[in-house]
Amino acid sequence: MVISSIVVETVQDKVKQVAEKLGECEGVEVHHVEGYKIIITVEAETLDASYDLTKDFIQITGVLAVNLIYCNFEDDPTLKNKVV
Amino acid sequence: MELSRRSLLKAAAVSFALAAAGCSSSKSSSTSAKQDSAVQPDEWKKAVCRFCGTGCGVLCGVKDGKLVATIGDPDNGSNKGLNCVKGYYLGKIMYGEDRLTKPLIRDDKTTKGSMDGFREATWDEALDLVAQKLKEAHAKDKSRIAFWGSGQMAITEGYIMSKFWKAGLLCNNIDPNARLCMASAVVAFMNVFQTDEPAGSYSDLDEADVFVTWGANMAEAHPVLYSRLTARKVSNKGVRHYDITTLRTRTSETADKVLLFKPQTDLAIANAICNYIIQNKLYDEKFIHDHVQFKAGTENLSHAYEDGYDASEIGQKGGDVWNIEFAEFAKMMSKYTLEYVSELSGVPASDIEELAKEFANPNRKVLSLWTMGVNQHTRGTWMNHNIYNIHFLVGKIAKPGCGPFSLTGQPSACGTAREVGLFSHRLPADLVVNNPQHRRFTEAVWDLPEGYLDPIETPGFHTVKIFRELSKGNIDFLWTASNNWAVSMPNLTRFLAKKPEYQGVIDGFIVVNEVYPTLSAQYADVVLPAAMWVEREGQFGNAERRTAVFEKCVEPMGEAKWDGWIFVQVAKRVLADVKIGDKPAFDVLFGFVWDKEKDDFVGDARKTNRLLFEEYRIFSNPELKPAAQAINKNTEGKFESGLKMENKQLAPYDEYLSHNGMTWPVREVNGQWLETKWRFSYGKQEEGYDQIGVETYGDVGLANDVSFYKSADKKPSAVFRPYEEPAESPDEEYPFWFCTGRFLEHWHSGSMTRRVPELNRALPEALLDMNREDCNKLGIKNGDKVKVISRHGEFEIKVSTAGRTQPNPGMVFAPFFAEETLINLAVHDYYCPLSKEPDYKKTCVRIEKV
Repeated sequence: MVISSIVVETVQDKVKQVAEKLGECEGVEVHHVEGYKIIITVEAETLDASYDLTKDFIQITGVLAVNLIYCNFEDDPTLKNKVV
Repeated sequence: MELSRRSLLKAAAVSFALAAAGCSSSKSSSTSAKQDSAVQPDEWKKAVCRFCGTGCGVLCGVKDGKLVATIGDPDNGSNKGLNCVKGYYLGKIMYGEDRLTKPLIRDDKTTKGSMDGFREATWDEALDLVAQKLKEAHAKDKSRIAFWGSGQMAITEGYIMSKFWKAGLLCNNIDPNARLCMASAVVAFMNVFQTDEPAGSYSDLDEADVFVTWGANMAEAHPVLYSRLTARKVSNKGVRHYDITTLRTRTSETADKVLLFKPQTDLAIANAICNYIIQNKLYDEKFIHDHVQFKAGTENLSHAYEDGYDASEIGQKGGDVWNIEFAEFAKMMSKYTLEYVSELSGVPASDIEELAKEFANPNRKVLSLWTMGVNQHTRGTWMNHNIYNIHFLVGKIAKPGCGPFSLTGQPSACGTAREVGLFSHRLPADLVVNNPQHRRFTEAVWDLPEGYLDPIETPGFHTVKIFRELSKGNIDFLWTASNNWAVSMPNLTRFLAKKPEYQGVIDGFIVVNEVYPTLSAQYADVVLPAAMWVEREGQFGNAERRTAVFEKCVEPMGEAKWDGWIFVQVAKRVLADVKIGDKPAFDVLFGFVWDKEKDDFVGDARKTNRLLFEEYRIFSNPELKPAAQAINKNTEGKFESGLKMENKQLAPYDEYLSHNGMTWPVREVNGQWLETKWRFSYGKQEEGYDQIGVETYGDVGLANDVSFYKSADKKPSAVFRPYEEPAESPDEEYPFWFCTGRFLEHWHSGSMTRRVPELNRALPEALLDMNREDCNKLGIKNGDKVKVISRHGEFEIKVSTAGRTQPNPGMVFAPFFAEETLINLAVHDYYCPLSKEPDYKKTCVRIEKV
């Protein structure tokens, strides 16, 4: 399982709607909303799946920026044979 | 995954994010989260993101010799803990399935253009062959060799190669790919300030009231910086963003006002703003009096249509400037009325006026940001000048939140290409080859006899010249590293031998240091597999003068080697019989880092990089070497004046590790090394101002508390630069403007990001963005394949009417990341006469349905 955290920045009056929308995504947990920023974690089987899940966040109405903060990919099974 | 481990990882993830977002509920610090040994890596090593020019700090989590996690580095001032989506894949870019892991040699030149003709070789065989070919070509005629480097090479790698090529081979045919993205900004920096650097820093993004993006799609190309811009906007009412562009982009979507202009007329728009400020007497008289000298320059430059342009009369005098009075400057500007420029550019006069008033409002801090739309321009240097002119008139420069700021396109365009002097006319630290005092100083640092560098007093070939000469068979040996020229160069129909008269790329001997089988590798005679990103230690220097070290985290894949090792191994072979004075040349140049018995560097990655950096640091700390300091201080009176090399002062190597990067000049105050965020601005050094510089070399108490002490007469230049026609304009045969650029998912030519399946899936192919009206006229539907034809070449591509950009009628756009859709086959190579940077934004094309 790959675990990452993201700060999503939104237009000020859309933060609640965006947080709700994000919370509906499987593997996404909304942890905190402050001002125009939403703190979420993303859980997915692989790095690829994590990216797949998050790449469309920018398309959600009101989202200004999607910032990746932390990513632990130690347990990504697709990387096992590749990491030296 | 055990529940407790999962919970701990999530808790850490949240903790890091809260800290990076600056949330008030950040209860546990990121430091404690990092130290949670139950789930976290054995150690966190410091690194810098491999992509784009922002230079984001990244912490790499290493466990059992493997890279297992990354965090945006919260202590790196460039990004403050944020990464963009490309950051997801930093850990993966090294592990593409087609990674090159062994040296490759091609025995049959007719197989060029594919990877089929290669055989695997040992390092010794490959290095011997490269050295033999380089030595032969050099002995025959050193103007027939060239090295093409990169703003993606680490600082020490660039330093090694610069020293080898300039002092070892006494050759100036060395240039970086930064010529394609930053050269116009660099020439303008030198013309305006006589120093190659921005006065401001990224901190200005957090304090500006008005943002003006000039030809910059920051939302896609500099996403983390764009986050800082939007954060400032969202959290401060009244902050406005003006986007000045030739086509609507993602950046335009969030701008408050978009000034959509006809290509090339940005020159006139900037002048109209100046003229409005002058005519309405809105300029800052005291600032102008204290700080600005006015100049005019050669006009009617025509364009570099022919290979002989540089040597032509106009090519030779294109950079000439002379002083004029402010009144004359104002008179020259007076032609650029709102009405005239509105008609020329297509931008409503009221929009230009509104922006001019924003610039002139003394209560508004204005930050201009620009990238390739300004630099990749046949009048790119002029366009840089014209932006500076506005800021000078209103005195908005070198203060927090205020300034003209050129964003770079690569992680070390500044640090390696520019600061190290990897250009055909430069030496390290802003020194140039055609200045005798600069050569003497360099000789002193490098322990060379006086006069040894005189053979390189004439600049060598710039990038377009290198490839034009190569295509004609006038370059026998070309070596490239950390770039993908076969995709990123313009006019590839000529340079990739698609025309019978231009077969040089096939006939010449080409060496490519590479990590993947890129198109450039497919044209190579020898491919040398290079260590990538954190497989070695290195340093990047970003757009805000920030130098940052990235530590080695993992071993290179297969037999891949550090570029620095490759360069020195070849230097050792090529210089085997060469003497400098009575000493072996190799010992003089690289003896301090090389162990002959081991046939390797004297130490590990840290020790070797530290040794190299400490020698390089003498250039900006001349007191470290008496012979260099004597020339710097002009103690013998041989020169007109001293050099003041300490003005670009760098800190000792280990300080960069402990500080997570620092912006130069870095000054030692009471035993502490302090960075400078606002160059030439007087204030406390510990708060990021240039206290020591201004007190030592400038004048305290001038307007706005700034002093441009590096400029001639301590006054930078406002140079009048007019609007002149582009190299090509749409006509009946070629009715469309063709603009090129890049998007968020793929970095430049895609050689790394396209190996990441998900990034590639998100943006799998390059599409031609077209206006629906144009499509209807030509009977083209969304998804249809078309042929794009210019005077220079053609390519096929699918059309999109709902792409990332929304061109107006008469304009089309495509990104350049896809080698299978090689758009640069059709892009012309006409360049700015001053900077020699080609214009990728204004080729004229016709479009035919396939």
